[in-house]
Amino acid sequence: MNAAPALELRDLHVAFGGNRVLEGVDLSFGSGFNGLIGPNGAGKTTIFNVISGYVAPATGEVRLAGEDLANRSQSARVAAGIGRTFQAPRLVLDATVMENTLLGLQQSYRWGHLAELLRLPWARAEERKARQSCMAMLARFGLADFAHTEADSLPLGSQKLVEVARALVAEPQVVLLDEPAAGLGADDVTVLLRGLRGIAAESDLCIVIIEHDLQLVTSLCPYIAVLDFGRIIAEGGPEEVTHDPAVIEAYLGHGFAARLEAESLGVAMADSDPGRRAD
Amino acid sequence: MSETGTAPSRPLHKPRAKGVLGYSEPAAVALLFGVAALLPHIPAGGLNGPYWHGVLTGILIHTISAMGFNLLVGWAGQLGLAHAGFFALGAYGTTLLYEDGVPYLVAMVILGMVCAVVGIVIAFPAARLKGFFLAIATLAFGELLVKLIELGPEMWDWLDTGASGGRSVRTVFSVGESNGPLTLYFTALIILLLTYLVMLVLTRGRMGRTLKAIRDIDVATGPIGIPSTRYKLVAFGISGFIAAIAGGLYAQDIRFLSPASFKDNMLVFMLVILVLGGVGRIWGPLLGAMFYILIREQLASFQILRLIIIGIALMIAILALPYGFASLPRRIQDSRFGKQLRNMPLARLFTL
Repeated sequence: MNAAPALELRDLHVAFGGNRVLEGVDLSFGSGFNGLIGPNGAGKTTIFNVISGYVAPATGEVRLAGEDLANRSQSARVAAGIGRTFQAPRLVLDATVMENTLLGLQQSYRWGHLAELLRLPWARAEERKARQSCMAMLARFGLADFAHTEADSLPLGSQKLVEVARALVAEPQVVLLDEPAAGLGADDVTVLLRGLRGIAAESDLCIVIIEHDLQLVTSLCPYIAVLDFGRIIAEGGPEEVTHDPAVIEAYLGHGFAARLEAESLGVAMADSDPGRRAD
Repeated sequence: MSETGTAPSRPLHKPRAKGVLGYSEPAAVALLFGVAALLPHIPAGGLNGPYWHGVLTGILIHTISAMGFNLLVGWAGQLGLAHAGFFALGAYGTTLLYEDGVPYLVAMVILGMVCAVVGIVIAFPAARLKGFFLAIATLAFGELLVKLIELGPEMWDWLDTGASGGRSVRTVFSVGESNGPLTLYFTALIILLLTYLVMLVLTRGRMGRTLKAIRDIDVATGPIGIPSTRYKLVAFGISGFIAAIAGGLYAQDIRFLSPASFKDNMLVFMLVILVLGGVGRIWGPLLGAMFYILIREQLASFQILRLIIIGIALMIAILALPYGFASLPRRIQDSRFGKQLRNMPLARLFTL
């Protein structure tokens, strides 16, 4: 299904005041896993914010399945098929996990609040169906038992999983995951990956992941783009990207590829910190 | 999914018991309204006399008003302070329409709709403001409404709000002085029940969770797919509607309208009820109104000293229960005493 990329970014420029954050980003993401990596402040989250419509680019366009999203509001983009999560989980803490997940279906309700207020049977059937899809999505991420627990009594890792479930429950075409594995324990990462792989295997979903855990990104994503100072400095397969001199200079540090191989062989290296910018 | 081994790494709270102290909510609500219907007939303590009828009616009216305020402040998280203005508009508007021959309840609904529209109109600019800026802008708008009522008759002949807005109200609901305003009491009680049911459906369903999201994760609502501006308009509209309905009842209760009684002191009164009862809790307004109005009445004989006592009482109440009186059942529920209480045989009668 690589005929047309799910998501295309063309020549994006973004500046906050005099601070140029993105300087001509061209990217296209197809279905399956796509990695977006780079040092802190490179502009990765800004790319997500542009895609979801929170930040308007100075120039450039965002195309979803070939269609330009420029005039779409943030919620219209969700309706068009873009879901996302945030670095720090944004949940309503005094609402249950179920209620938080239901928020992700906001754009798929056909009946208005008047029907809800009058408790019309079809509005209630719709709500029931929404709850069922949320339950199924929560189950994929091992959260079914906690559906009726208030979000603030969940540990951070589970809260992040709830966010992922919320982003995916409306069955988007593209989902943007902003550091989904950061702060997660090993168990939670396993659950996250199993859930994501399951959905990716069943659909054409395009998953874009910002992540600092490079072992995770390189093992998961057949396509990785590296961003530095608002420019794409490399893109391609994991092998290609991790051996690229520009990437090693800007982000990985020398000897990273060797460390990565050692790690994948099961040899723990004491000071592998790929998130650190090599000086 | 417990077999997946993904249980969060620290112990979780159990899901909270529904209802009040484990009593199922329909039973508790039926009981509450049953007691409220009987209350003005009880001879003990003069509860069936005009004084207590007035006090109880006042509690009901301010509970209705605060429920609408609560939707805007407690659920949508919008500190819109024009509530006293809408309350005044409802009081004066309903009185004037009634004198022009419109049936009183119809006039109340018309004013409700007028205030809903005005609320939505001011929400257009207000939805772009946050926190204190929103508070100041809406505060000014509310005062403006009261000022228009006060100065209006000098500008427009048709606006008959009386000299400086002071005018008497033709009573509708009274059934004779000896009985006190009992019909008003029961009208208010029925309207409170309706308001409660609307609030219940709205806050427990999609509207409630969406408004909470706007309150707690405002910047994230767009990327999640929530058109937050539209929901803010709806919250302003509904709270304006309820304020006007309560205002219409209030006019019948006090029987003399004066702009002074709708100015910032009314707004502070509304805020105190809301905060004292519990912001964002469905029963908060009733508890806040009961506590505040009752201590105010009980201390009436203390003259100036009563303000000091009320101030101290409010401080103690807020310190002891920062989330308001409505958080008390949950406090008890979570305590050791609460667990014993739930195991008592009588409690099971009401538990589903």
